Amino acid sequence: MSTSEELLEEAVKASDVEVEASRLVRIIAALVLIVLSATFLVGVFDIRSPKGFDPAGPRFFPLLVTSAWLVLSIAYLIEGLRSPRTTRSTDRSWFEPVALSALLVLYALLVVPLGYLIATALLFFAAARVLGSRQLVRDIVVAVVLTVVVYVAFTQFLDISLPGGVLGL
Amino acid sequence: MIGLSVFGELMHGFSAVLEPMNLLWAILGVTLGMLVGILPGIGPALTIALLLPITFNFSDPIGAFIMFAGIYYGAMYGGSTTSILINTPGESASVATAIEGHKMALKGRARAALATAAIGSFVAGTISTVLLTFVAKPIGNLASHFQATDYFAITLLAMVAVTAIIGHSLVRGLLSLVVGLFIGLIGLDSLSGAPRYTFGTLRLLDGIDVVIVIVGLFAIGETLHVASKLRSTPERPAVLEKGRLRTGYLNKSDWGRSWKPWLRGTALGFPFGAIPSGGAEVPTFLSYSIERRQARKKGHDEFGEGAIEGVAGPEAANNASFSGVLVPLLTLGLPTSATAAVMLAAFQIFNVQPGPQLFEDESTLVWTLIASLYIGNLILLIMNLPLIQIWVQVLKVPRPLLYAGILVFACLGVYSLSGSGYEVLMALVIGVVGFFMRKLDFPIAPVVLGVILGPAMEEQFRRSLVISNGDASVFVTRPLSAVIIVLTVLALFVPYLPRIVARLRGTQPTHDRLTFGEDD
Amino acid sequence: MSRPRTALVAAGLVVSLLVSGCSALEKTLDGGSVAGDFPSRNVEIMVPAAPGGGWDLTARQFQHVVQEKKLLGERAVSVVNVTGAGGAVGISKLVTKNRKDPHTLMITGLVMVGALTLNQSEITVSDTTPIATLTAEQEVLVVKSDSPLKSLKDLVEMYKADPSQVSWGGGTIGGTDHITAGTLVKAAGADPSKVKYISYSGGGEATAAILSGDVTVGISGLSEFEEQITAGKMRVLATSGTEPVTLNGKQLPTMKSEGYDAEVQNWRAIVAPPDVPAADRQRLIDFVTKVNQSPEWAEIRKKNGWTDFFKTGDDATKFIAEETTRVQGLEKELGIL
Repeated sequence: MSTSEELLEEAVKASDVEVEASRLVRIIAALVLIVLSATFLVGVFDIRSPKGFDPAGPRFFPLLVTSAWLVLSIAYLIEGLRSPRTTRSTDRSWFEPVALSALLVLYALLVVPLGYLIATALLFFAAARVLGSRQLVRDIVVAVVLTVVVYVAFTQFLDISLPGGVLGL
Repeated sequence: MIGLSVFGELMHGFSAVLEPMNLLWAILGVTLGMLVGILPGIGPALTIALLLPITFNFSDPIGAFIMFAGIYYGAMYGGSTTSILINTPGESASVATAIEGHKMALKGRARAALATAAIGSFVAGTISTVLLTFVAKPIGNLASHFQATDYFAITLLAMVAVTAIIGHSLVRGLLSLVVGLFIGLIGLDSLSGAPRYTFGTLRLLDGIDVVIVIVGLFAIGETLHVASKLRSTPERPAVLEKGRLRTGYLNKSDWGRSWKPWLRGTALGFPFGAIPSGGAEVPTFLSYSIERRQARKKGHDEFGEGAIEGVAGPEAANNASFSGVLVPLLTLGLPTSATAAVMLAAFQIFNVQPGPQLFEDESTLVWTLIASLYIGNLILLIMNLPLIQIWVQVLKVPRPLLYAGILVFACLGVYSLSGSGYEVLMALVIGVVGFFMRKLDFPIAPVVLGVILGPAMEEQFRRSLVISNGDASVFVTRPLSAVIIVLTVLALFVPYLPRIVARLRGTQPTHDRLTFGEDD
Repeated sequence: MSRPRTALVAAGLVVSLLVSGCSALEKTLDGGSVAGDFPSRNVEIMVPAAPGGGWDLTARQFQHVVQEKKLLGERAVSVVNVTGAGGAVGISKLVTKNRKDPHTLMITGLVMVGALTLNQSEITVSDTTPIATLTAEQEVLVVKSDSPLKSLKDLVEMYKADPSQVSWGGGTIGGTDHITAGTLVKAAGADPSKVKYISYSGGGEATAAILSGDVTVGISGLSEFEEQITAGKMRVLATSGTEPVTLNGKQLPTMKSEGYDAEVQNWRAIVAPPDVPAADRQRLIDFVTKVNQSPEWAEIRKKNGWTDFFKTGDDATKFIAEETTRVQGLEKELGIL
């Protein structure tokens, strides 16, 4: 690989990172990490520490880990502050990831009461739609077939019990 | 003399395993193992535990053990398929494979990646079975000499040695590792029984299962990430590079670049499998970083863009670890992994007690089992090379269906861990973390490493101190530990040596470092 | 563009669902069941641990016998694993979700009593309706065969001279093995709070620690160490039960026969949810008794090295209550509470 190609590739990579995370997002992330690690660092002292024969005790490693976390988060913040200001706006969409997350929350809540078959078929169908599929019949067929195959394979063959739900299986 | 008798016993084993019924069990086991290896969350331990009651009715336990062994190494191989094709490893042992494997698939080299995984698994499986056949006893005895301080030294060495997976930025890489270490802290502290970071909920007392972390970070995190880029990246079917089965889909340079990693991976996987609490994860990560350093030395470093060495090594390592696991299991009755523990329970149900007497008391069973490993590995290879052509069709599944399917299987995997929706929610939370990590260009693999190595490291460190009544010198006074700690220090400083030497001489170093992962 | 708005609505929906209260969440996540005369529908045995362990084995073998002998007629028995916190998740589900329902049973045992106490759980095994204790497993104290300790007395003397010189290796903190160590030390008149107990996950890890010389003495179920003992790599100091065990034609000493008034049995029991009607409770007792009396169950006991530990109804209830008090006291004395 020649040097010019290498340079080009480096540049492409660098711009990619810029698109992935603008300076502001990185600073916000760093602040979140600082708050989290500081909270957990304080939380170390809530850990029950029986006086006993264990010289290190249950607080030692948490203290180490959370302090390292805090220090690194601060380093990350500094790195973010020093990074060049970018004017590029991100063309990433938030709708799909948020909708998928909402679907998974609903699934977690509904899989037992509705039963595995209905909940899973609905999850597959809805997720495929969110992800941009526009072929109604195909989506429904795949959702139903996949769910039934998984259900039968797991309950009959592996003896893993999956919720029957409203179908009363 | 001993060799000859071993050979005779082995031949006897072969004649037993080639009976149609036993062959069938081997095929069934390998197939089942491959499937559970592909599915996230459903690992070999769970599968064997669930199949145990079915085997109660077997008149002959040999069939059951042939099947269980097949499930174990089938799963070790199966995990590579999804790691490579869709960047969603099903097991912690295939996380290292995903790093380069998926990059290869993106470049259209999915077939070569799958092939080097399959052939590497076969090579590693066969060599390590030969090792198992001839040196099981001495290695088993060695393994039983490891003490807590030695284990601690090993985890420390592993932690330092795998810094290569840290990626572009030291700060971000270490942050990932620390977050993994923190996740490992959650739950009851095993040595004192004190709850840590459980926030008063019962659910967190057992900690967060590494499977939930993997499924969350990889399967769900990746899906959310892909979803967010949906509109800016138009769907394009992956263009596959030409490949022919006659050469196992590998071209001449692939073969040349794969065979050494296979052997090195085997050399790492087998001993790590054999030592208690070694497992399959650490050798895969170690193999990855060693291959990376080797490639860098030779100057054709393709790591980060789909290096075949990064698939060949870890895949050989995780398959070799299985025969390693069998060493202490058969010779000492010591299970060194969760799956081995379930297999031990299976042995006991059939009134077979693995341990020092096993090779005398149950020689037919043991040798048939060992012979079945040779055959099973061969079956795995024969089945998988043609199957590659079918697996790669996964890449042609329309994106919405593929990722919807990944979500369904991710949910199934975590749901089956405990039979409740909580695990799905927990995996989602971790998935959201994985999503932001991708957005911010944090490496994912160090999190998994932290979750796996952290608790082991802490446990062994504290056990050592408890046993020595707080005397920290135990880590350097025990010869074995001392040697490993010296190696650790070397691994830490050797990469910087040229720079240090140069600085001492007052000249400019030619290279910044020898082999360390890039830094910015 | 309507999409961002849809996303907001979806997010709002999620948030409102989440804040609608933890109890409602708990309910939907776990489901529930209805009561009825036993057996008016299929029976579910809950194993409050992962597949593969002692409770799981007990449940699955129990299921095997019931189905083999058709003890519930056309009704089936299924086994469901509810893992978490040494059984705390399982029992809280049984106690809160399955009240009065005789069709959901749960396997429990000494390990759960210890774990619930350690976790300072508000629910105890006594909150359930005990049907019967089924089996018990002997604990065994072993040393590496080249250890200078020849008898239980040697061990106790060593501990009395300097407790920091003795490291005890076994399973979970507050579990059966830990309790055995505490019971012995207490019976010997020494201070249990000085017991240097090192927990290992599972018998395999503990075996390795004993063979490598990491710990002075190892404690676990007899079956875990049996092979090492037979091979001469470990020496038995004592078993923990009342009846002496014979292994390889040799009768093993018990803690009692060595002169210490200590006894620990790793018992396992089957319990029903709270407030099961008296009639259903009696039917359940009859049903479990039938299983226990079957030759198949006797065979399973023998195969797994479990001793018959059958107590039903009020006897079982009383026994479980006594064990709970004992374990609570002991965990305090061990200094882990």
